[in-house]
Amino acid sequence: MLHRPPSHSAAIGPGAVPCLALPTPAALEQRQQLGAAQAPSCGAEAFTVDPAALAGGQPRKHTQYPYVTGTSVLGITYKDGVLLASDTLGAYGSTKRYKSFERLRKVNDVCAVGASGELSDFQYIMRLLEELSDDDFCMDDGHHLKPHEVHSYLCRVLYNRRNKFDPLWNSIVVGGFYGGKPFLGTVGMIGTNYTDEHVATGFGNHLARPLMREKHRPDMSEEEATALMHECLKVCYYRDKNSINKFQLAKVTAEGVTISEPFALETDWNYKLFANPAANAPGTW
Amino acid sequence: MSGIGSGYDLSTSTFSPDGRVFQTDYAQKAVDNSGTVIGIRCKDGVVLGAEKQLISKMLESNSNRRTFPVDRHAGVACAGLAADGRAIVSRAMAEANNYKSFYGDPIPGHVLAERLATYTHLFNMYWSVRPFGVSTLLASYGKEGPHLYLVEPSGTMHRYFGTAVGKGRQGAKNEIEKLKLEEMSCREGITAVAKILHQVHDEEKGFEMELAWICEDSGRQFQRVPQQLAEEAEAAAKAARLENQEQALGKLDTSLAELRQELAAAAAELRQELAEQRKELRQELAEQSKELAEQRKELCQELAEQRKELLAAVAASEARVAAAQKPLVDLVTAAMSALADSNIQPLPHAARQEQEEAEAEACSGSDS
Amino acid sequence: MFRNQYDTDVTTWSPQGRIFQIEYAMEAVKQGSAAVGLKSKEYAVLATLKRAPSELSSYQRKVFKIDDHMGIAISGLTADGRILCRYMRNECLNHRYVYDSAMPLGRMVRQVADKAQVADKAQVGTQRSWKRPYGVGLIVAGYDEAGPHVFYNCPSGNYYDYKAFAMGARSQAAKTYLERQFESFGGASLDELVKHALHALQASLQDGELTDKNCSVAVVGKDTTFTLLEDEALAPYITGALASACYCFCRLFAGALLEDEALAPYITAVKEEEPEAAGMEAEQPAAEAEGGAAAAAGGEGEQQGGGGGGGDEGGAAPMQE
Repeated sequence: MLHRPPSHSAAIGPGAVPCLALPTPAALEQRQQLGAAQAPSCGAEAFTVDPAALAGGQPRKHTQYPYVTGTSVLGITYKDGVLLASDTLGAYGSTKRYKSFERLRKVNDVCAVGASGELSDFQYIMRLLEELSDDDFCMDDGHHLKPHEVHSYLCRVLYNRRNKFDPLWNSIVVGGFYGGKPFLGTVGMIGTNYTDEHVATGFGNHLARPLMREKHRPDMSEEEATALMHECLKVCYYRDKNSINKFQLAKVTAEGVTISEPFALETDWNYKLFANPAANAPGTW
Repeated sequence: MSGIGSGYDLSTSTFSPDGRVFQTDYAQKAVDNSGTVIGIRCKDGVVLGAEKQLISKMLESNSNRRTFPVDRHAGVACAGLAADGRAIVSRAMAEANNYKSFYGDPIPGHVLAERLATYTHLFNMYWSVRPFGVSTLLASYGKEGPHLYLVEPSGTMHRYFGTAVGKGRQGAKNEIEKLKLEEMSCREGITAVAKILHQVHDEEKGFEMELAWICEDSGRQFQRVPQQLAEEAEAAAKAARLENQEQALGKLDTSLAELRQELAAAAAELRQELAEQRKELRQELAEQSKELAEQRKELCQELAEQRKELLAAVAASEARVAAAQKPLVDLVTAAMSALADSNIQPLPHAARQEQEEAEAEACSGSDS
Repeated sequence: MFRNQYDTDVTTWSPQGRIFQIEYAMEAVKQGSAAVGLKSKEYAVLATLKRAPSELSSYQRKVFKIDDHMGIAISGLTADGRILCRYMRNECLNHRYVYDSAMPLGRMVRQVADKAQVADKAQVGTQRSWKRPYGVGLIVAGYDEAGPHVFYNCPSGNYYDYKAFAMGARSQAAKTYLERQFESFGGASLDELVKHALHALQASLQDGELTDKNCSVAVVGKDTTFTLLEDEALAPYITGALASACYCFCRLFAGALLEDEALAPYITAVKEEEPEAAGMEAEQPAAEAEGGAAAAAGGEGEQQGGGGGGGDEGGAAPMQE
């Protein structure tokens, strides 16, 4: 049969997925024989260096900085599940270019992800996850990706890409609820990852997490958790110039995944400290 | 098939003199021998149904799948070699995935069907491979609405409103033609499919049914028919089958009654005929007996006459004898009287015996 | 002379729509020694008869661990089986690496089946002229989210989800036993399950008896990683005396494959710790192989010979175990 890559082969990165140009049966086999003697006779294909990278001439350049970016994503666990939150901005540099970009997405009934960083890369990642959940659908055997599996998978993808010096420029939050337990984890563009009861990416790590550390409890009710989330979002919005007052909240519970319509929070810019922000920061202007 | 033994039927890369590729036909045979698979396109979706022979009672139920989703909006049912079927499924999944990543849209049914047909056809082109032993029913529900396609081992592809492949295809197709597919919803469709599958399943051996659909009820996603609905459909099918059997039984009963009636009529007729014959015979008999009686009378008369004659003759001869005797008697009488006159006494019997014994004793005494 | 001209190639269909090469490959499975697999609601058990090509050689392994939650028993061409075994181990490891979780059995089995048809996993092997089907049958037993599973992977590229199954030489007798009993397996304990497995195996054993040398058993299930029971660990089951110690073995040391020397220290340890259990084992040691097993066989006094089985076995090719 046509070599069908194991569903996780996407982890190895671009070029690993076979092209589906109409093959002659002989060509079908040839593909596998092209590899040198060290190619494994079964199992996944070995990782090989992209030949283009070795060709002479100019060094090959990968993404060196992101273009359209999203800012912080926040996530907390609570009594019945997890909450994820982010704004809906796709910023082109410091231009607020796309104001309705949904950065929180459902993966399947037990898992949602949110991403900051390069949004085209996030779209690519979502395509990978969609393929995986489509595969689950097609297998039709009741198995589906668990939140921790999604997290692990993303860790592998991001880490592999960074090892090729072609990173996916994202920090991702994975939230889920499975087997009666909430799951919350994050992974950065170079594959750094951890799980915690509350996580945040980017600026949120500095602006929101202190608040979370202070106020978060795993047994919070949904109302409490939502209130905490709103507070964190507001703080992030006050302090992060690359954000807008248009947020979404994703909730994953035993009932499934719901992602709210975009909403705005009431803000108050009349704080005394806002009046002269440099006053207490000598050396700035 | 005339290809057997001719040597023209050993490879897909060989045509027979009359322009056939027998290996392709043989692959089709594998499909024709497998369990029946049915597909119908109803007004709001497509229903696929497969008949699965139970090879062992230790099998888990619902295993040994015959219907497979290949994307959210499309799925297939395979008849023939299950393993070949999965190869097609893998390819279909890859095609669907590829299309989506390239065009960003789900693959339309006709494109998928065409690509599968092309792929299948490839395996009819080279000596180094064999054709798939699988016919694939493809159900899709895209922008163009619900569609049903059939891809055959030869690589031909057609769109159908309803079709069947496998062992019971002929009967199933006949039944499908009777359905009003344009007016039928998928909910009714699953029952219809279940009924047909039960109807064309001829052996007494058990089988498992697998139903899958794609319609509004399933959210335009290809999936197995929910268990409860499937069970209802199966129950209805079994009931229908039972009813059918009962109907057939009823028909038999009526025909039996008719036969009986006919028989009774025939018997009555026969009886009448018999009676008539008997009557005739009796008449004849009577006539004959009458005749006989006459004959007898005649004979009796004759006999009597003859007897009379004979008696007369006897009397005459007696008279003649008496006449002849008379001189003899006279003679004897004369002799007797003469004897009496001469006084000669005949020796009494006892005295004669004594005399004889004495003589015998004398003889034996001399001997001892 | 009549010769079947349709049976030498895996790419040739017969006029009846059959592929003889695949069917012949399925025959190869019947040449191997018997293996059975069965499951309850919580456990799956494999049991196999092992052959030794000579008195001086070791017995050929027939049960292989794939991952903590899965293992296989093979019948047919052992070398083919080992290729598939390696493939499966590789897949499971990859799955663990990528998803940090155990691979669902159904998926694994489907992948193997797709592979297996002409020696590049099953189905492909049945469709390319330069390949052949794998000449090996696999019983894949394992435990995943959906519970315990017993799958049978056939050289044809088919796979079946069974409640209980037997394959290999004279497996019909074992199948008959299983068919009579399988309805009771659902609620059976692990010990009972192993016993049933051995009974089934005994049924397919033509002559001689089950000993802890010529058979091996593996268990896997809820909270129990795939564990092979051989030699001393198996002996109590074989003798019919189901020492709880044995049960402890598979519980305590779940996760690590313990055989031969590796197992010895534990046995001594248990002997020292549990005088009763140890006593039982100490009494039996060497002699149990014959005497004990005979007693067990006598006690069970069942189906010798049994059903039709698969053809004769004769000097079965050394490749096929």
